[in-house]
Amino acid sequence: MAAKSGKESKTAKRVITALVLLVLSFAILWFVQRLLMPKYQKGVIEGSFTEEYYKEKVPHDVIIFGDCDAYESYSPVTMYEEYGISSFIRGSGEQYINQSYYLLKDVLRTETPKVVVLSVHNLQHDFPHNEAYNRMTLDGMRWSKDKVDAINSSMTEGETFVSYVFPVLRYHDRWNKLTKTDIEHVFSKDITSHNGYYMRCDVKPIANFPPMIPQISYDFGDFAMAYLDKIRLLCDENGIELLLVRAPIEYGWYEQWDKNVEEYAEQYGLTYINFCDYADDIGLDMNVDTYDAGVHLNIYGVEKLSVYFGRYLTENYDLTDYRTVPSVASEYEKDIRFYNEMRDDQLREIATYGELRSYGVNAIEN
Amino acid sequence: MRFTKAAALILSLSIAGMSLAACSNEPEPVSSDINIISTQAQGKNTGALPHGVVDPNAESENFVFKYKGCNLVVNTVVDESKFPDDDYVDFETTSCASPELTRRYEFKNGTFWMELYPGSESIYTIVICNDIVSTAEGIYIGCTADQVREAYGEPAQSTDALLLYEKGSSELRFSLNTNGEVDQIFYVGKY
Repeated sequence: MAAKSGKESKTAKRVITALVLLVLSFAILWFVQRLLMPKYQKGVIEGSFTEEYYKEKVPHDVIIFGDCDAYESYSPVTMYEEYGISSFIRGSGEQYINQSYYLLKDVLRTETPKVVVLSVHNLQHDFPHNEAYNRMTLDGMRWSKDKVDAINSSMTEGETFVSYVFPVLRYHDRWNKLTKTDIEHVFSKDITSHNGYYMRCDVKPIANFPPMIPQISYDFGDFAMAYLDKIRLLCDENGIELLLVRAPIEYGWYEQWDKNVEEYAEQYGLTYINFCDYADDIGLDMNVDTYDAGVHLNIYGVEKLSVYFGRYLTENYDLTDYRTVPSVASEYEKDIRFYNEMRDDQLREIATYGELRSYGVNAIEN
Repeated sequence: MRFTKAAALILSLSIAGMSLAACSNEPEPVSSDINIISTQAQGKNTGALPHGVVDPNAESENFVFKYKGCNLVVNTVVDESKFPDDDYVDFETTSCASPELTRRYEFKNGTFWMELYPGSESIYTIVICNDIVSTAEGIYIGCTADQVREAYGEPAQSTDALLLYEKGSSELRFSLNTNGEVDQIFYVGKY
């Protein structure tokens, strides 16, 4: 009896030892993976935006999807302060339209906005064609069937699904490029955006640009248009108003593309706002409202556009004034504080150095 | 003792697994969070521009734009020291989510432009915007589509608004106005 008990005890010990070692191995692998993955905390921060949505604690009436035209044109904090609109930008660097669709589906898992705003800038790309941008959008997405579908519809040649499941397979060679930020943010990452808005306070007046290269065809690709259809239908199914917009940036866009979007909007009874047509009404002055010579808006341009756009939204949709909802207002007070702190910090750097040092390209660690 | 051995084995396997991953034959990785190219790149609507293209045969096989004795050829490395005069300005712009800068040259107050591939020194496009300069084959702003055809033959592709020629790793695009006259000329690098 005693011998049997001793044998059982040994077996139990072995099982426990094996389990402990297994857990230990996974912990080591998990740690190494966390360490090696890009953190997007300094310099190129756009890869952080996707996951920052999951830290939100308030409902959103308006959610904006798209690439830089989305996350560098609208300020949810300004729209809240002016009109009480609760909004979030689910944008990311060169977010392809299939990714916008799956990010919308991802949103619908937890909330149903009243208005979905799609920045049509990403229609210019038919298929996803750049792994780095895929990673910036998809790595931060929470695991679900939507993420699986987003990955499968986005992978470029040479990419593998398993490397999205185990990113260490992709980032393993970063071991000799690790920076202080990689070490600091192994276990937690700071919020870098303002409800998805990428803040820049520097000013670089608009420059002349060469004309756009003429194309044989200005049709959008079938793949991209199919996903625009999917977004439209998904909004329909969920009783969401779909609004198509284009940021007031003349650079990098063809007039014929506007015509395409206008025709689509007309065909399906959607609204398309090309803010380039309203630059004067918005009060934009691209000598002071852009930080990169006219390719993107800076905070001054963004706030002007947000006041204008927020007014349009409140006048045309039945949105809640969340300034009157204490639980939401208290969260937005924190957002406003963070917004003002970052703005003041950027302005201080600009006053001191004549340029941003802790933000944008200058902040990239080598 | 056994625990130590087993622990050593498991940890070794973990390390071996990671080493194996590190030795895989995947294509060049994302390489960090910053190896990204322009989202705002002009031109093609099917793909972003590569980091730069240098075609060793470009000088002999591509369309050449001659400016005051200086040959400017797409998909070759730009050499400012060979510019015939200093009547130009250059500036750089950033790209979305990228540390890379795209450099542009504006010659003679917008008479023609040259743009490099993002983050590189190789020429992507040359754009002629007024009739002060012409192509090496004598076509300038204001020429008719027929004159273009006479100089270059039948285009590889065309529409009412565009004649597109291909040679080596370059394209020559003549933009036409509603009167069928050339209003802009583009040398474009192929990649």
